[in-house]
Amino acid sequence: MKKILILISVVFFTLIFINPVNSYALENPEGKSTTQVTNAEEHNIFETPPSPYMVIPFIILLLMNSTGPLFYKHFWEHNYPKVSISLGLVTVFYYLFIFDDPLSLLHTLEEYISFIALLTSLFVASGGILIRIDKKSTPVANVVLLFVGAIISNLIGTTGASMLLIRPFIRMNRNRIKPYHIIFFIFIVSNIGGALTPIGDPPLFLGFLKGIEFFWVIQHVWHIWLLTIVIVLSIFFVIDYLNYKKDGVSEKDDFTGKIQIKGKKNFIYLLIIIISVFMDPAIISWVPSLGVLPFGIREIIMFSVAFISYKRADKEALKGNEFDFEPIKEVAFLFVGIFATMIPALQLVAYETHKYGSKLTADIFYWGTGILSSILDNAPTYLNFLSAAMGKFGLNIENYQHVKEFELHDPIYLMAISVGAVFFGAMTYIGNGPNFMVKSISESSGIKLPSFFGYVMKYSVPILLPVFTLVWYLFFYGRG
Amino acid sequence: MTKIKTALESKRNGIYYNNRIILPFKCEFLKIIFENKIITDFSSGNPDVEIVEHENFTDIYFKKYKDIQNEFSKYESIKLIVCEKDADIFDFNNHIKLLLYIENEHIIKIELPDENQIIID
Repeated sequence: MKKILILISVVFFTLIFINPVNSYALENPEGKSTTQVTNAEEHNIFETPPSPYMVIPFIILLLMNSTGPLFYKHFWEHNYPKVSISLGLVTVFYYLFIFDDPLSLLHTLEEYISFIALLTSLFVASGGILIRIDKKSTPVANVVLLFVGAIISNLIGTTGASMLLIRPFIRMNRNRIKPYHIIFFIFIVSNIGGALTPIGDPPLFLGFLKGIEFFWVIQHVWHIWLLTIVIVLSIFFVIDYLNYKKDGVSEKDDFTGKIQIKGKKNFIYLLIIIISVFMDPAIISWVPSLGVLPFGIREIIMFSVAFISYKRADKEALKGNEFDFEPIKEVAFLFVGIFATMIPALQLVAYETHKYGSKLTADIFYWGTGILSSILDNAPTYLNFLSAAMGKFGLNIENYQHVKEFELHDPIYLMAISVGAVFFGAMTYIGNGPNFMVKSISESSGIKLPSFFGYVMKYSVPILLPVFTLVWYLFFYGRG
Repeated sequence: MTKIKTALESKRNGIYYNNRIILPFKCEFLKIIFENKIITDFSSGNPDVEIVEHENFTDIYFKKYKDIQNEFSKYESIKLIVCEKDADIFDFNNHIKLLLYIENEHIIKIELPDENQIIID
């Protein structure tokens, strides 16, 4: 099975990479990464869009990704790499031999490598840090931890922050832990918190790779973020306070109030990863381009840090975190298929919205991105709606200059899409990668959590939906 | 009958073959936690695990797996909440939390959780 997967992967990348388009990359005179270069040979998707049938592999993959872990878990656990790569290969063949647009594949390959380099390095480096908070579980202490988690998620990603803080959070609350503790952790640390920077949540990093400026998000959505975090934390405080008063904490426990950290050196690795995000020729001019290769200095640093941080990690920290590569392996395999199959979907969305764009408002982008981010993965959803919003103005998401133009054009659309994608990822277990990871860690600690529908009906709909409706009313209603 | 306490004090390991774990003691099972499954139903029809008691040891069969070695990394563990056969099961102080680590050559390392590992009773 492993041999077959390796073979398929090699074919997949070879088809994209060993292609005449790379001679163009070699000739790229400005030393910029190929992601940011517009090629005269690139298809004008507003004149010749790809076949609508090419959306089918993307839809199949997203549906299977959403339903597999819930309804046919055993099959999905053992076959998702084959499914993802096979569907991806359909798109690769189409773009190489029928649609004759290899450049779109190359752009996508570069973005995939950047994306997976960031997630892998953050996952591995944060997995080697073990935090122990010897503090009494009080509603105030929980609120502080969740708020700190919301901020940290913008520095090391929602995945990194969830990995780093879920165990200390469970440990601190071990004497009175209830499912709502974990659910609010998913709401705040694994999702809403990470809305301020491209490192925070995968959709925003994809936007950054497409050309959205790094600090654009924090400049435009900080007030929405703050209001939402304050409201959700306030709701949590009330629930936790009532639970605390009812149950209390066993008085026999002695707490030192100390915070112990094992694997502190991994914070240095995390810092290197964060700095390396900016190591792109398009951001810092002296950073060299690697020309023909579909990755740059940034990705080399990230993968190297991942390797070194794992090899030199504190073994006790890895053991305490029950470190396993399976979650990141799953993301790597699933997203190779998602990135490939997403190409025609993005182009068709841009094509269609260019035709009917005048009817699309910020309300539609907020709710559309949000609802689909709840049930599908929020990263591809974000890109599809970004593509749609740009298509409204005749701009192509694959064109770096077009993205720059769009972020200056009218920020309300990008704000609606960014907030919708990140916030609504909290609506279900499958809305965002870390949700399932936190669920899995909590259950492996012996905490029984609600089912998929229990989560939605007991928590998301009564708590998050009114908050997100308020956000829409205050910031997006009737605008754009 | 081998007790849990005796097995821990003498640092005895368990063993495994494919999906069968053999523990070097007898006990009452309260919870088995592996991956994201929490098993509390130990009746014979359970689709996930089956427990078979012998004179001096206990088998756990993980019915959904072919080989448990393929399912757990070296840092992951199977967690048990158990009780000595002759202890008062209704007293929470008698509940013992154990971690089982899958090692090479069919060895199952049995450990008590340290301060970093969490098992909610």
